[in-house]
Amino acid sequence: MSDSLFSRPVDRRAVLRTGIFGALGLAAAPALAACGGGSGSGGPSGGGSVTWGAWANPGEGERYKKFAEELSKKISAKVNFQAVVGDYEAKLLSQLSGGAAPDAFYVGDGMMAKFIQAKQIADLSDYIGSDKSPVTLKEFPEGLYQWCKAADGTGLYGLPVDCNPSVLWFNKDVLSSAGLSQDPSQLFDAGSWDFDALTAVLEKVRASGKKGLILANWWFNWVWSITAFGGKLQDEAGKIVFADDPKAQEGLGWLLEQFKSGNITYAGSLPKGQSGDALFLAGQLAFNNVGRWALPTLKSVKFGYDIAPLPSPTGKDIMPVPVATAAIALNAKAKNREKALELIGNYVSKDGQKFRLSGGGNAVPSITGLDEIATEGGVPAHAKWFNDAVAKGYAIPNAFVSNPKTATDLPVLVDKLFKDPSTTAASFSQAVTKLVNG
Amino acid sequence: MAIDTQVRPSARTAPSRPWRKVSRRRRKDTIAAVIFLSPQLFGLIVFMLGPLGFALYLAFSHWDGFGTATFAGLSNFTELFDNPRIQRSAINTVWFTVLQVPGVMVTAFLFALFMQKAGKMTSVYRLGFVAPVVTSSVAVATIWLYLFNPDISPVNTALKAIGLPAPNWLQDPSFIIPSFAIVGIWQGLGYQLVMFMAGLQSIGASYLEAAELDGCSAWQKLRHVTVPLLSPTILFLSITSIIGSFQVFDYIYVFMDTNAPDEARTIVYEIVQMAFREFNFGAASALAFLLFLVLLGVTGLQMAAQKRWVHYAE
Repeated sequence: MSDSLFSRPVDRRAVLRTGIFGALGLAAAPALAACGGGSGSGGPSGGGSVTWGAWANPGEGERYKKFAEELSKKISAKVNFQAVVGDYEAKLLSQLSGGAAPDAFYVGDGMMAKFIQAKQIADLSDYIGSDKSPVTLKEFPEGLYQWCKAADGTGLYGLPVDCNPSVLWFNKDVLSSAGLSQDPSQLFDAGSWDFDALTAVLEKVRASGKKGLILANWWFNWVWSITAFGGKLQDEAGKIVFADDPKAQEGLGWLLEQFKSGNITYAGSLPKGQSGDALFLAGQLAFNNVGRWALPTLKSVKFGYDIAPLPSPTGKDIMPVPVATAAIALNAKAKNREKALELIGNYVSKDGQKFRLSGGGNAVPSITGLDEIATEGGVPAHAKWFNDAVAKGYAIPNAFVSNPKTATDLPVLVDKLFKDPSTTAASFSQAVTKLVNG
Repeated sequence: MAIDTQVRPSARTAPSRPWRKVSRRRRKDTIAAVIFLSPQLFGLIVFMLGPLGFALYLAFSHWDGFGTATFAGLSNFTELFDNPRIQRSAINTVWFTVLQVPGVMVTAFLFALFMQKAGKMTSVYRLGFVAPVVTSSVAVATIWLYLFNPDISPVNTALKAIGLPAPNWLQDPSFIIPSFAIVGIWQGLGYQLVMFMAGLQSIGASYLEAAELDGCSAWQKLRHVTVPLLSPTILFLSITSIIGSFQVFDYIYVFMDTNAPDEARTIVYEIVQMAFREFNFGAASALAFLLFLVLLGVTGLQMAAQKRWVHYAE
């Protein structure tokens, strides 16, 4: 007992010695941990390791991990998925600044231009045009990847991973209780789904005490009023030109008129939870202007629902509408460039998209020839229109995001203009054009 | 010479020996202290002082997050002063502070007074009040996002039921900042309540008994005994609340995402937007530095003013 550790007198020198070794141990721990971390590299056939980073919900995260396992076997390298939780942009930026970013990563529309300008991501043109790539650029709808080019229209710095076109989801029960005998999908099939038809439906819904449609300041929610009317959004050089286009002005005028009449409610800059989604799920909203991502949450509702394309002047056409998308890009300082390119190619290829998106129900493939994914399960009934909308649609105009300041200022300006009752189509167009074109 | 050499050292060393011993021991103690503190100091330097110094350097630089920063002089600061959105954000931040700080302090103080009489239920109530404190701000904001929904919110339904106008909380420009303040008060209440309860319990019963013997009413006891003796707690809570309210960000980020309208933006929201959305780290750091100076000034004023109204019992 007298020799026990606790009964020994405390020797200052011994305490100091222990303290020094303890401090050294603590200081060395991160270095040792870092050394230990390297043991994970080295693929099944010695092709090294390659990592991609992306935002992902829990379901997607699991699927991406399985994709990584499968791809590891295919490209003979250890493929790792790095899920980024929280503020993706801020975290990616920190990783890039510190030289610790993954070999490939998702890039949202607000960051693409800056990453290209700062040479943080590499041009994929040569790879996608080579025999090594399992996918060709022709497989992507042309409107989906323009935003991945540099400001001067050269290069290709990202490939769309999947997409979500702007469509109108509608609540069949709300429409029938408002006294409508035909729903929008039936009107479209009958060739009479034009803007007058939409206005009439919205008026009837409003008269029934429910809300018709809620729109936010996101480009996805208002730019269709220009192009679905047949208006021209931008010219070949990428400049915004809708201020000078009569059809575009007519479309914007229609939208502003609906805000004023109360047929459409402006939801401001609120996030998805409080814009159309919550009300639509609560059975209080006739239309919700979102993409296919709404499907997983709608599967459990009790009311009937379907989708319709945005209306057209003829009532029977699917017009060009916004398509939300993100791209996967190659880190310019990728540690394993060759395998990272293989990863990207396989990720967006037919097989890759099929693996990632089948059964997920929250996106539409960004390449042609995979129509069955959007229509799987037959839900919603007219899911084929997702594919048609993607084929004709367009991703965010480069002019909206070519400057990070413009990208952040645009929604704020649109918010201000939509809230101002004196805004006209002309004043709206002028203000937006001035900001975007400079 | 021989005698000389024998005498001199003893003459020199004899009186200085104890001093040297003390000095040596002190040096050893200092070294030991530094060694023991070094892990913490390392963390402080790397994760606190380093970034602070870097932010200060960036405030006088142009830097987009990549490559090399270039010297900008005071241009980041002039850019901020010329930016009407920053001015609006500053006003919003002050307005939030004006609503939230007194709101949460008065509410917490009143509840703390009531809780003094809650008896056995005190711990139950305390748990209820503290629950929002330990809930993440993002979860709190998500709940309130539903409660502020103008169409399906039970709050608005209740207001309509009693004939009151139901505001469009997060859309009406005049209600946005008050909405944030309501959430801030709700979440901050528990912490301040606990602090006030601790402060109230530390007030000696003899003071209140003496006041009673002097014929003081309940109101007079509260005003002339309780509040003055609680003044150190009030000072502490006011300093920490003001600092916290000037840094409000998380609610707005959850409520408005990255597209908050001008009426909803606060200074820290602008800092994040400028840095991570606009890649303007120089201006963002300059704004952070200005915020630091403002908070330093406000806290300094509070500390200076405390001599006039804060009473420390014994």
